[in-house]
Amino acid sequence: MQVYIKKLSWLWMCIGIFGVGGCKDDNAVPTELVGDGFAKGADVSWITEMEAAGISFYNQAGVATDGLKLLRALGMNAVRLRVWVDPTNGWCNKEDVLVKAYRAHHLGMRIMVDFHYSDHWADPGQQNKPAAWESLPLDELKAAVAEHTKEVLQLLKDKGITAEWVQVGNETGNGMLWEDGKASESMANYAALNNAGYDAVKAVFPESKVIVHVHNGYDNSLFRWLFDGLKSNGGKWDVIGMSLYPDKDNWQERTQQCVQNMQDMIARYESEVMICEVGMSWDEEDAAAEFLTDLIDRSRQFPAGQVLGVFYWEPLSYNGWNGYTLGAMNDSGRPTKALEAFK
Amino acid sequence: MKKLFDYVVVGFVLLLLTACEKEGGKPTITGIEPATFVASKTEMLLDATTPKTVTLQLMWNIDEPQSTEKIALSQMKTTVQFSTSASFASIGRSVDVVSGSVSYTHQQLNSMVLALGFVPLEQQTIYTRVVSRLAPNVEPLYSNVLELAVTAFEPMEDGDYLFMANGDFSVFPWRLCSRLEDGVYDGFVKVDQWYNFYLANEASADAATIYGSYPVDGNQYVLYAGDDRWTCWTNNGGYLYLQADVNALSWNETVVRSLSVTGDFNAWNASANPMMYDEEQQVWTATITTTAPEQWGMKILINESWSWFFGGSETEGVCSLYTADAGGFAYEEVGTYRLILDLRDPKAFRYRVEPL
Repeated sequence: MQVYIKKLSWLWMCIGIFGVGGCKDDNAVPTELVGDGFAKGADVSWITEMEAAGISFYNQAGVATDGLKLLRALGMNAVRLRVWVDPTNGWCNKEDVLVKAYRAHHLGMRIMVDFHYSDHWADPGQQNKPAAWESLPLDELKAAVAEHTKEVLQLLKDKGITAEWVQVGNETGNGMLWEDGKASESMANYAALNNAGYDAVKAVFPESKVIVHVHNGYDNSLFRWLFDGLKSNGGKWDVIGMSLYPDKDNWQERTQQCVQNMQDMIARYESEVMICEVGMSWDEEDAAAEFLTDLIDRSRQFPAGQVLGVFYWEPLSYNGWNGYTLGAMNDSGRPTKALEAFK
Repeated sequence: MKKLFDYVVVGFVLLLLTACEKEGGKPTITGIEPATFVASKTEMLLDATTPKTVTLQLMWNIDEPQSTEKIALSQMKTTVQFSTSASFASIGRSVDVVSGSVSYTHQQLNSMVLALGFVPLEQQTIYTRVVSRLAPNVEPLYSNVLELAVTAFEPMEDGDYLFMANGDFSVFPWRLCSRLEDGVYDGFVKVDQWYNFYLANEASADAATIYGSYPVDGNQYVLYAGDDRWTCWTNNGGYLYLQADVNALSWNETVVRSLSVTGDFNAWNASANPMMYDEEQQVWTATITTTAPEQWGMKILINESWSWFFGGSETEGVCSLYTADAGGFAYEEVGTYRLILDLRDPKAFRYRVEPL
């Protein structure tokens, strides 16, 4: 009897293998979307503006395709969307974010919202307050951060969309909302503003993971300085986010340094980490593919759940869009080899 | 027990043989439902002062079809339709889309509704819906209809410009102007050889009129505004003078080989003082040394021609383009200065004099 049970077990295993593989449905949602939890994503914040400018995206066969579906077909399962408070031409305001989130959500993709707390770019070189917040004292500034954060996230929630990850600030290696929140001037202020955002996120999406995102993911001393400072001032975060933009000549060294930095962040703060931005010049696709493959492989080698994912920054940009050259499309609007790393 | 096992094995083999068999080889497709259509807002007061600001975004959710066999999804077509009639008795505009949303700036939406007959400054209603069709021989599916209240603005008086757009309308690097508003446009451009372009009456992919070339070989210089237009292209590249005649539906190009400054200061020499093109500023410059105010003004010759040059005008700081005899433009400075000629806006060719 036991022999037959073993044989039957073998038989049903075969049914399982052949049954699934034999009738593969090419139109089904890619299994990676519901896979092992590792996020393979892209910042696609420019997509609506590019489309409105008449720009199309093409698959390898040269067929015009929805940019999000194109990325999904290339193995990506998540998007990252930046939010500006009151941008000049409206792109990346809360309504525009909703449009992109709505599209991604209905394609089964996971969503990260990236708050810049500015009317324009916030990065290591500039963390300007939104014009409407310029004259606010610190307490009111914290309230504005909280209100804006809740307002944007509630807009998504009202449409049934969940932000799985939320970045409070963008590349805040020296804090945000300068000068009040400049970390080198007042780590306490930065921590307070950060916590206003953190608490606001949790008020709308208690399960969302809040990311504090810092540039130069290879620079361990910068990360230690900032997160030691945040910690000692009661700063809250769930995930440490990193940017990494190496070039074709230094990506191996930078990746090694970044991996070591990730190990240190995980050990030192018992924090999860995530690569929130990567990129390399679009015309260095071989080096970019090697870099991304290596980075993703090494990120996935961490024990489950420690490194949450890797996001490429604006891979859909091409042909000098806004002067940006680190996209991952060629001049014809087709994906370069770099994106094969996400398959 | 062995017999039972044999039956199970036979059953398994039959299962494998039949599991993937499709009825008559035809795919069974499920999951096709009418789209859910959503607007970012339903009332818009369009503003001429913020033409490039996004004002309306439409998004929809079309469930992806599930098929028992591989199907050609390229046959699937999605269209956003606009009509002034709630019943869509006539379709004012159809936009084929591959994405899951469309966005309109104030200027783009204004152009569209004016083309549909809207009266500026009056709030009127436009209806929109999404139509999805799996294949040409399949009945289309219609989304819910959105009712949008739009107040258009008076079109800006830019009818005397034609904007040069690149092949995908992502940039509008140059423009031509009909200074006499007679349908003959001209201007100076700097483009690469074989540059492909359109000429549009607005700096928008959604411009009401977009000229390309007539879509038959040998009609490179024939303007054509039909949807099947080809791009125009230049054989030459470099700094060019373009003329487009929308009455005769033709255009032409002339290579600008040189600009040179002439006047008393150089005894009206056609070649002694060439101007240099500043790529970054997109202007022409020359260093000029004079010992007295120019009695007859100065002229800037194109290709060293005395019958094609920039001379005087009635407006200070502006020089006019001449093809017949005319006076020079005022130049009062004495000493060494930089003369700068800015041809970017063909409505008024501007010059200025700056100390070094």
